[in-house]
Amino acid sequence: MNAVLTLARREMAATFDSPIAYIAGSVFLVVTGLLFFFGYDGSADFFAAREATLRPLFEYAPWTLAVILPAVTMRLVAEEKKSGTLELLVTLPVSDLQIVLGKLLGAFGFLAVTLAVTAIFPIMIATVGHPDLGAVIGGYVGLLLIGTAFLALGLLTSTWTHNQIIAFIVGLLLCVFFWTATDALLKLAFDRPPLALELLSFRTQFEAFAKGVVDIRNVVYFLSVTAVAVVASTYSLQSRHWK
Amino acid sequence: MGSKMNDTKKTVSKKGSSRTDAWVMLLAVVGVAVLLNALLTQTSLRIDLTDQQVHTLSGASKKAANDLDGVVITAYISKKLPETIPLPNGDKMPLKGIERAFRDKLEEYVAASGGKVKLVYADNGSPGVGTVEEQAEAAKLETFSSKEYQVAGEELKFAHYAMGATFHYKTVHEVFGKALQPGYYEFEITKILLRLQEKYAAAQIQKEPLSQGKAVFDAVKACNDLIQKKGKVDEGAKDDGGGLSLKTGADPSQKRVDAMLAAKDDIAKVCGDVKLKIAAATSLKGKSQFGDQLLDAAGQFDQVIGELGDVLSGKAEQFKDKPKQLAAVMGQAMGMLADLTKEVDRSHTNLSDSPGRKVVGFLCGNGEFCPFAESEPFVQEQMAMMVAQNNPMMKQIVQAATQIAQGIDETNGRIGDNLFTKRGYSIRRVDADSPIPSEISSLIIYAPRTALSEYTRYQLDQFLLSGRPVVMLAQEWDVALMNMAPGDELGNDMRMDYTALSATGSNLQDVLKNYGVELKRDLTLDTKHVQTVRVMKLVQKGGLQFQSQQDFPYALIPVATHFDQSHPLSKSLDNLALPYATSVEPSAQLAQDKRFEVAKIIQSSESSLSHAAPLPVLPPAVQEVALQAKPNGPLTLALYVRGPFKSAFAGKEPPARPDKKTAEDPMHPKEKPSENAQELAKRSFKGEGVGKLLVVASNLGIEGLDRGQVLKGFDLSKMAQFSAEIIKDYQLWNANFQNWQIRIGQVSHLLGGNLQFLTNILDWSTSHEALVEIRSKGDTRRPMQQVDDGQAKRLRLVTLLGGPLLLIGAGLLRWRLRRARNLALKV
Amino acid sequence: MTESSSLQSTAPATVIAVRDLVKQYDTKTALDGVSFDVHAGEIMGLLGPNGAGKSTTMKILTTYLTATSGSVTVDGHDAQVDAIKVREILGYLPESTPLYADMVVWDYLRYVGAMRNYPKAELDKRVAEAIRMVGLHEYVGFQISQLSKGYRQRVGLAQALLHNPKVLILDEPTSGLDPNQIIEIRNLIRELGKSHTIILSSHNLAEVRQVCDRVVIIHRGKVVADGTLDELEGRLASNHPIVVGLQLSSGTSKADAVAQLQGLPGVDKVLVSHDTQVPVPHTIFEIEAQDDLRAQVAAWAAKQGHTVLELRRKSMDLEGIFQALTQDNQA
Repeated sequence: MNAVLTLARREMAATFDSPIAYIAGSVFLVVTGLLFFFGYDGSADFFAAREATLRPLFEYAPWTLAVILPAVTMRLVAEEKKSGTLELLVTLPVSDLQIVLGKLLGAFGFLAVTLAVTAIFPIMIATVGHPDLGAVIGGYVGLLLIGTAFLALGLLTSTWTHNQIIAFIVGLLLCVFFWTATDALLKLAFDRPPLALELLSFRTQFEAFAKGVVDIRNVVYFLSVTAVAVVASTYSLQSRHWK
Repeated sequence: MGSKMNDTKKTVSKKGSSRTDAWVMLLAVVGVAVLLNALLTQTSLRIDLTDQQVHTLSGASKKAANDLDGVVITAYISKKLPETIPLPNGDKMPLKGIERAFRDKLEEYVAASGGKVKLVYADNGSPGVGTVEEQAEAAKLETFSSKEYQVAGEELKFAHYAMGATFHYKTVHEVFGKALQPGYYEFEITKILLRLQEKYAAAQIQKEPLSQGKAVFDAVKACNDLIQKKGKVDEGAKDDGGGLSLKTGADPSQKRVDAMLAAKDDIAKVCGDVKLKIAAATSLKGKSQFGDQLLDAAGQFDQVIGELGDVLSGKAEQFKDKPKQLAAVMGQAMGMLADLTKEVDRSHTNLSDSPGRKVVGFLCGNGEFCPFAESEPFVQEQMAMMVAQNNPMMKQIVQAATQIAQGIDETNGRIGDNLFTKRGYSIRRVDADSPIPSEISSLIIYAPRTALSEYTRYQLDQFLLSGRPVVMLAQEWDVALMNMAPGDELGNDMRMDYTALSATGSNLQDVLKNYGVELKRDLTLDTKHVQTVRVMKLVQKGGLQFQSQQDFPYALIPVATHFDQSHPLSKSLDNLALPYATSVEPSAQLAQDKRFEVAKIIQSSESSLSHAAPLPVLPPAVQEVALQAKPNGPLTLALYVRGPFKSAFAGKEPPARPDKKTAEDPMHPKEKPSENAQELAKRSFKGEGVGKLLVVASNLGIEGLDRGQVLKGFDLSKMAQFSAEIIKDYQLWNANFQNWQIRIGQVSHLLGGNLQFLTNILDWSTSHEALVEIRSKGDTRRPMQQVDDGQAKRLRLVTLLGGPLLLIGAGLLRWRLRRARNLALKV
Repeated sequence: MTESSSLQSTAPATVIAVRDLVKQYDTKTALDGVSFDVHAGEIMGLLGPNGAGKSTTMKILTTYLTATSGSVTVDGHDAQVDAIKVREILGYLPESTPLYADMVVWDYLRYVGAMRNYPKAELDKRVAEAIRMVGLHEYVGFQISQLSKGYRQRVGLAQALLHNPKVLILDEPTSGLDPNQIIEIRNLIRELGKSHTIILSSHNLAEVRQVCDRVVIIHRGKVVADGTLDELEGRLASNHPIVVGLQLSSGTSKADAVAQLQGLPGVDKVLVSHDTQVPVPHTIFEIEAQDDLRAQVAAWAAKQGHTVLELRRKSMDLEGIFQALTQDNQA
């Protein structure tokens, strides 16, 4: 556990040492902000709607997270593979699972910091209305969970290559796929998709959080995706043994 | 022997298996994850973090689901819903996720009921039942369309969609016609469940009339179906009757005649039943509005059948050898029968829906808000014709006045429909100066502008003492920031007139005094917690007049800040602006009387103050007055009293019912009240009774629109000859109508928040207090202050740039701190 | 101490035992039955040309990779079964010294220490010690990317010996350094060797000779030689030609000289390598013989009146040595 925390701390420091954290974070904040205020096609107007709600944030943030989080996770393993530091890392007395968890936790730190900065949105709204605090908290819990799932997917792709750009692109595709494409694909394939398939979509699973409801089913879903990605990443790291 | 360990076999196998192991383990983890998720779909462990647990069924809903054993919900949901549907105002309403929300909500009820509620989905699958949409329409759901049309056969038509459900419980059922507002699902469904319960209980008592009504309806329907089938003019129509038809390529009318004639015995047998069933419906007659309507329509139906029977049986000789005419007569009869069947159906639906339905009465006739079209026409046609014959100019004026009256009727009717009927409330008009019908279960006196008559007060008194809820909303003040007046010269348009604050002629103060409630007839001002008033301005621009509007904070529109959290009416409110409110307090005596429950459910803020007229009316002037005075808030804006009220008429003669002066109709003279009525009243008089009284010190921004108020002094008898006065009057009527619009416009932006309170009142008055709580959940909107463009820009800028700046600033700070530390590092 | 060492209480304890290591990459066999022991306190050189399998051996030793077959035990722990324990015992400097370039020396070493589960209080002390040990004290606050190659190597060494490991494994610790840096690092390793068991790999024979007590030579995935330097020298001596530079006494032709040399006992073959003019004109001969005949050659030259300008055994390049060794093995 100690090693996981140590590694997480280093990863987080490394993230915030590199400009990518600030670029990704700022892009996230600005793009999400623009979507929040103007909608995806610029037709919405938050202030004209006169509703003290953070719903638009929770509607759009997963989109932007799906794009920026792979940019943060892309370096996690790929960079170490390229520079060779991975060899040092994995020959330290820690297990591969600990390494994966530590890296995930470090990236989670970035997610948490970035989301903490978005507190500026509810604070802004609170100056002109009374947002439902419970719903806001629910939304943030959801963002943390869906963000963690994205991070785990991004981490997984980072273990597949030593090229960060490839890790990013594949991670991005994977995240966007889980977020939205399942919807689109299902729509193509079925008149009314079976519930089991509908439930595969991050979007479906995220809905309740955006409303302020923390449902154990949704929580377990995101944790499952994260767990599967973590285990897959661990085995991906271990695959050096049988190559 | 560690160092000598040399188990090659073992290590060889290890390598081979570790890759397989990994895959097996990974698949196992995926499998466990899938299994876990699949298992959890059955559970519903969730935390609703929202303020009022908006997304969780409330206790009342769970109880409603539990109280009824054997409810079957049939959900009708179109297979492919459109992305959006157009709204009347041109916006689009997105439907994304709505289907899941609806299904989730229904299933939540099923789960809460512990198996007592069953849910089935209408499906396209089975043959012969048609599409989901067709089934839905058959089940009397409201289907809706998007703007996308689809090609059906050779015609273009809008695609129709269904999204709703029917609820069956034993012999009764209810329909959730159009479920497009997820926020209100719980409210609507629970309302339906409660309604089913009441309806079933009441239907048990009214079994006989209901079954008789159904028998009549069934007979009518069977007869109509048979006739429509036989008389169908269709090339492909099958002849399955007596087999007598001529199978030559005869023209359709001949075919119809032949078919009908062939089936005449059948028809006589089936349709004869209608008469029998009507005759048998003894307990239906004269018992209820809908029962009478049903019998009336069925009677007419029977009459047409009789006439058709004559034709068929050959009694009507004149049609012999004239098949074309015969066919035409038959066709006409068929059309009439179809229409009458619809009428019977409608009455029957209403009848079967009526048991246990609580009817809210709105008192009308004193300039109240009265959301109904008048039952009587504005002028009798014959009278108007007489006037018109004398003077063509008068004819025009009468026509125009009629148009205004029609406009008023339409507006009121629409308001009533949209605000109440469509939301599932049964409302009835209660005419002032008439007895209050017994079916009324609660009475609303909504902002009368003129004095209630003694007789009306007596009716009200007895109603209150009977224990049924009485709600009074006061409108003691009339505020006009702009007023239109007739032009100075004849034929001139209207002109801007005065601004004024004047007292209305209401006598509610007087009425309420009898029950220990002091309606102050003061003005509640507030300097801090106020809403804006919207002022229309006429702007001259290049010879053209434009209307523009502007919002001013207005001390005369206090915003309530104290809501009694223990009272169902007020506990869920958070946004209520009460235009031109007075205040209301219990009398000292009432306040001390332990037998009474007295609750000041809504109060103004501490910064509010009570001010007696006169007062200037323009916002800045009012503000100045308000600022100079000393606040003495909070003031009570809504008061609830329950207890053993004493009649205001104890020891008095019951007042006689006055004659109606207006709209005197020589053709139908009013019947004089009989001596008996007076006696009857005396005998049934109640001197004391536990009553429920709610007094609200404002009209909530809803201005009544009343024929008598607008068309002041309209008197058809005066129309016989031309006079300049009448033209003046006509201009005044026009101005009155406009002034109403202006007054509504002044505060219409407040309605949204206030309507919730109004519907709370209705639910409370029909003793659906549970619903009050649930509905407020539907309104998940959290209102936000008005933000002007400049402020919006600033807030946007701060929010958009603040985040990145914060992040980058923190990064720079971190970098500097680290650099300083690194430079100082020593070992 | 481990079982094995207690069994051979007189000999230095075996710290690392490598047995029949085979590593098969997809198509290529990198290691083909490598076995050797490393004893406590030894500096062992793993010698071989590029691609011989040195790095693969080290990667397996450090548990980075798993062998296809064969076993590695470090201080009694099987590297495959008990990898974490083995990693605790080892300090490892991989080839080309990969480091987190963005990190400051101090932070990096603290991070490695923390990963090795040092308690906080001890950690700072230990890091400072390691820094002093490798002579980095002036650079603690420097970013690793700012350091020269030699200092980076020191950082790598510092992280490897931070936890005072029983065994240090250094993969090509001097490659890519300039001569001065090489000397510094070699000195450092020799210093460390006093208190640690070290395995270092190199493709430079001279380096191994300078630093190591013992050497294992790997060629094409096989151990071709294993022994102390002296032993190895002895084995190699037989194969080394003697190079002699003679200013022949006047009147003696090169052919005469060749014939005379050929006539010396034990000489197999004599070749004229080339003539040279510096500092005086003379001719270089190469003499192949089973034994070291330098004394005999010198005596002969003195007798004949030739001026000896040069007399040495010819140094072999690695490839030559390996060829020699493989031939030797085959023979």
